[in-house]
Amino acid sequence: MRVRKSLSAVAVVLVAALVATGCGGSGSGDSGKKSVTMWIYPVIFDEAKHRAYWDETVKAFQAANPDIEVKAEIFPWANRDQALATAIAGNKGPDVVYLIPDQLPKYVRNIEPVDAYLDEAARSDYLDNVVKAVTIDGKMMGAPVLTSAVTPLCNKKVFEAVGQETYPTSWNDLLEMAPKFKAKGYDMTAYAGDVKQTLNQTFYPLLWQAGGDVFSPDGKSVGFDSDAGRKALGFVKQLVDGGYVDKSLLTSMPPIEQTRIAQNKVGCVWHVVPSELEKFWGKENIKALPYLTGTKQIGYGTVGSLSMLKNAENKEAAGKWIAFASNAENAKKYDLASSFFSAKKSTGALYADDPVLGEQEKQVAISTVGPLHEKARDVQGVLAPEIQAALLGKKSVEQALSDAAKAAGPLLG
Amino acid sequence: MTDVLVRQATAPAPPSPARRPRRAGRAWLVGRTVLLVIGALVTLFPFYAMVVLSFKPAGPVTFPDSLLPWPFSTEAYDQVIGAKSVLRWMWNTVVYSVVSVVGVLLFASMAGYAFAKKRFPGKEAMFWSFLAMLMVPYHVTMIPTFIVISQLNGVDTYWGMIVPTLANAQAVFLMRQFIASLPDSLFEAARLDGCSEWRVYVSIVLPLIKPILATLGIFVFLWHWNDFLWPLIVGQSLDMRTLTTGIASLQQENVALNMLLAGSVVAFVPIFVAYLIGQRYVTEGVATSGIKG
Repeated sequence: MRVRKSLSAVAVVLVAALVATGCGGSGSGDSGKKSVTMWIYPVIFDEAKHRAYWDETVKAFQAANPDIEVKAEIFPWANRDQALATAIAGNKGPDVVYLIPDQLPKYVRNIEPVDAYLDEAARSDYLDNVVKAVTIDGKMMGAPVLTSAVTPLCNKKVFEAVGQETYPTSWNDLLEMAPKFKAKGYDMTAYAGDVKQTLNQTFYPLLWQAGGDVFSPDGKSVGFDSDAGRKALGFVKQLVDGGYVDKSLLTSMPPIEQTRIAQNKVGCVWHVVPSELEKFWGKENIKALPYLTGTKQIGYGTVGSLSMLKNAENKEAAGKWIAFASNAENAKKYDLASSFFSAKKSTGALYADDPVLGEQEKQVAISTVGPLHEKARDVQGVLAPEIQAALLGKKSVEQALSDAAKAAGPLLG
Repeated sequence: MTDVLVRQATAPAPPSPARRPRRAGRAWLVGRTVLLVIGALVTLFPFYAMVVLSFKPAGPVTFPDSLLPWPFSTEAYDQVIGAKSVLRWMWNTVVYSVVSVVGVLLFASMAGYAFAKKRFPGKEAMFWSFLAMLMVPYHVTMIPTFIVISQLNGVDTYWGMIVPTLANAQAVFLMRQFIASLPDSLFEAARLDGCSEWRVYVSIVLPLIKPILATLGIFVFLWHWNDFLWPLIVGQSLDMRTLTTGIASLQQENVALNMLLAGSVVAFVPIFVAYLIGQRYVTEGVATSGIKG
């Protein structure tokens, strides 16, 4: 009897689940309206503010376009490529999605270029390097809404404790100052050598500063196994061998709270953003510097753009939405709310009064997003362990880069 | 005589053969207790650290200062459970976990019974083919499964999230092994008494497999409660997020440690309660079936 009751309960739960099916799902929107779905990620830290921003922007857009319904879905950063690639494969992807240049080559076959949906004034208002960052085969694969500049950030408190009054502008400066920091128990800098860490913010800026690049100009072979590559890796190795960086960060990627960076024991970093450091250093103690100079002055900064997928049901509606969300006025609001920088010339400087963001903003024009190559991430996968091996002393600089180049060869065909 | 008696009474008695083992037994008991206490502390430490660090304001983590309960701050929880939709996410997670548990237990017990006690052509081939599913990595089947669900319009629905998880090869295997150990005479007697197959399943099989049902139920509940990728892919709208995907959507790319741990605590508490309720069965189940969480 009890078992029969249990089975009845099971049946009730299953039926309830099936009934609930009718409650779930977003549906296809009101009849007669064209629907546009956008996937965005937590670009603005405060979820409530982020949602409010998109609610307001959608409302303003729909006031001017009452026949278009826009849904902005905030997705997690975690597993974003798996979620997007799976959704595209199942033909259930969004119409519009936020992508960074690193992702563009992977999805290029699924992306509808946006050139036709942006007017000439909007296109020519973008900074030159920003346009370059989203252009593949001469077509803009997304409408940029923000940029960043990951510049060196130094800890004023540490510099004071060491008695160092000037800040580094070049590799040589770092190497000259480093012994003084070490003598006082501080690290000159931090190098994130864990293989999971993107090279865009660690090794590649040095490679570019040394005058090199990740790929050869035609993209058919790698470019890091070169004098510039050896110079860049040699520089990091000097920092490691000299004891000027925390060696534990070469093989692990702990939360920043557990590092010497958070403990105010590191002079300068070039792979962390100010918002992460503020809570440990205090904003008043952050000194933002221009990109370091090796052979030339350059650094990494990303570009966030809104891309339209080819499977978008209403391309015209999606195009209108992209043009609206990325126009100078809206993008400026978004940048200010998220502490990113403008991709447009017409907005001017957004942070002229901010000593940290203002200094970083000046570097946007000379920032690069890294290689727009379909195999860029795969090549990072073979290069990162070789760099680590060199820094741990298991291989020479030359051998590590040569081995990485050999491993990358088959990837590039 | 008296002297002899006194001598006998005051002389230290030779240790009796029974007392020595008792003393050794007590030493072993103390040693074992100390070892168990140390083991318990080592096991509890990560949970303690998780809770304490989640109630800290943002700042560097230093040992041992950070393991003290002060300074106390709920800023991470304000962010994690302050989201408007958190109750909806909790409800979705409960629906996803509970309905899946019920479905998996029902189907796995039926299939397990058939594979263990029924005779039909191709039984072994079917069973081993089904079992082979265990060897296929989840990521290989994820996209094809999603495409099927998508073509059936199951994206962003509860059933789309739940149905693919009901065919659980591991659960069927465990059920089959458990039911196979039940004596055949029980089933033969039931049939001689005129029981139908359904009646045999309901009146004989289900009551006898309660321990494995409870154990498996807890594990299936845990798998679903903590599941991230499938709910992320199928539940595309804000209203269809589960707790894991919803909390993740609040976080920046570089998540602050206190917020990460606050999210872990929020997700952990319900499954901990579920575990407390069924811990006897989990212990029995692990001991008898070798399942590992």
